[in-house]
Amino acid sequence: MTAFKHDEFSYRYPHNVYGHVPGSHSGSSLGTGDRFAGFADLFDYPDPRRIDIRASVRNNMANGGISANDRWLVRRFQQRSTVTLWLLADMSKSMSVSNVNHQRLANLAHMIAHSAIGLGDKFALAGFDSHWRQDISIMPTRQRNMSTIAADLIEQAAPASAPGSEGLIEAANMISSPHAMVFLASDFCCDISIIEKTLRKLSHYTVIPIVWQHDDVDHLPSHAGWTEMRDAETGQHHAVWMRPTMKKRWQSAMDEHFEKLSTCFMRHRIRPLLVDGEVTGEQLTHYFMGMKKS
Amino acid sequence: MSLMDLHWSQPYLLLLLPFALLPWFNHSQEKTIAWSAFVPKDPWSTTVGLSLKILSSIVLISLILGLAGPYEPEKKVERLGEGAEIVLLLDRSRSMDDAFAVKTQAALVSVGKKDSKRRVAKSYLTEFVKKRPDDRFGFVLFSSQAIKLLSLTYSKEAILATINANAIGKGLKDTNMPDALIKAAEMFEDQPYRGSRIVLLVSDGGQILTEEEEKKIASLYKRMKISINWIYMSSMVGVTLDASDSDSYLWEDLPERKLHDFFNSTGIPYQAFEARSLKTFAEAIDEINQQQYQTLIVEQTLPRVSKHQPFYIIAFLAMLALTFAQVYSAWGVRKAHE
Repeated sequence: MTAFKHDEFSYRYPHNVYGHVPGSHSGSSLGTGDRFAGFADLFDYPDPRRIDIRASVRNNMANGGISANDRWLVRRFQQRSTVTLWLLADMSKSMSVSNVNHQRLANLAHMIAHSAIGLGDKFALAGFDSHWRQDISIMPTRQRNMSTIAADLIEQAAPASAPGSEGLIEAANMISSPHAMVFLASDFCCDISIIEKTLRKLSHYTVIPIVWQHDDVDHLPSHAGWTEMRDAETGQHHAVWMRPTMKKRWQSAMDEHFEKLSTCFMRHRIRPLLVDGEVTGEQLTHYFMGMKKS
Repeated sequence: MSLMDLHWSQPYLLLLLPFALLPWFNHSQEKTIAWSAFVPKDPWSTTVGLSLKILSSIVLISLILGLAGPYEPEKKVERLGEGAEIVLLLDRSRSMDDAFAVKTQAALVSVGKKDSKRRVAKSYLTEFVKKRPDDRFGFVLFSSQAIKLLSLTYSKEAILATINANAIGKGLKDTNMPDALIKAAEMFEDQPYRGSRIVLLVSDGGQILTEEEEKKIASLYKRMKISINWIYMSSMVGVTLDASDSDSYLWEDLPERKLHDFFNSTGIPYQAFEARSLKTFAEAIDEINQQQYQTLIVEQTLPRVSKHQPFYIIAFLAMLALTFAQVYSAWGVRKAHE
């Protein structure tokens, strides 16, 4: 078991949450809260603690003086509510190239779980590679020690059995919470159509794609000469004679892919968080600060 | 010469040949990349990769073949040539150190100089040998003992070196002519008769032989069909082998003359050349050269030839190409990491 840094980030759900469990995100249900949501008649909403005398008198005067059918107005508030933070973790082998054997992913899981549960939200985890990884999944929970459990789960996960990231769609299907923020941590080195499909499926959630960028060397190991390489996922051997024209073609293929990826995100009004190396709480806090509040 | 005809001095090393397949299974230089979908398809790379692998296999194969020591075995080749089998019988007595063909007795003292008879004989014999490509030469020198220096050989290098070596140093004391003649004839013993056989005697003096020796020599030379050519190098001008009227009475009983008479009387083919000057010596040599051409079967022994060099050259060239590719690649990787 590794000791994890108790890094955390602050976030707010950008939309109003409807839910009866009090939490920290602005909600659309009425209850105890700090956001004023209009008046109601005392008989409709029998909460005498919130009778607003000034408002009641002003209302009665406006209606033509004090009379027998005077109404007492009660102030109502929107109740703050909770959401669920889902982490869809890419466990495929290509991730371990830049991810130091999923250590960084485990750190991220720890941080999300710690921040979510600390704020009273639920945390859930779904791992995927070519399939949904049931062994690396946690259903929504508020259990306090879940951050460590999640991190250990990711760290000690068995390696992917088959290449590919198609399990992303299955994993997205697991998300059942009505309000959720979905962290999608992957290197996005897969078919754009899978991502497109997933994003469409997750369109009513807030998706935060964490794009783990590989080092340039992991994409383009050599600039000249004979280069033999092995695909991190499939293990296929490739070999090319590198020269400037090849480098150009290679680079343009890479650029094209990531161009497509960002247009895909743009279409869904999602801003990706580009990361190389460790994800810090600070980065995520900045990300959420920049997020448009509804 | 095909590969199959080669012999190997260390054939067990050929067991290493399967190692030539190693480059086809080696993935040690591989780098893990995140996604191979970015790698462009490139037929040119396939060609280069194939040729690099073939090159490295070639390097291994030729190194192993080179190490296994390929050689062409020694073999004998018979061919028809023109010439003779000649045994050079050289006098190595002290008198051969004297000057050649001087006019006066006083000039005889220039010992071991450039014009000594031995040196003169050497330079002319060298030329003689060089002129005759197909001859088989033997070499016997004599003074108090006759020594078979070089048995009959086709090797020009060997005979030239022997002639050369013979001109070094100083002569010995005595002259043992009968022993020398017998030893020279013995060189032909047990040899198949291939063509004309000559003993080329180069000497500046003779010896009186006993009757017994004369008999033995005569029978031996007859039996073996050897002819004798004598290049007589007199120290002083005027001494001849044949008696003449103008002879000084001092020369009448010279052993040279006795020997000459003996040779003439035996009936074996004999010719004497009296070298009185450098010019006559050269003429004598030329005459022998012209006379002694008979068709004879020349047996040539081709020595064992090592054939590893072409393999090493191939390996070197292939390795050179591979090294360039490797250096270029290393530079590329370095650049990628910058």
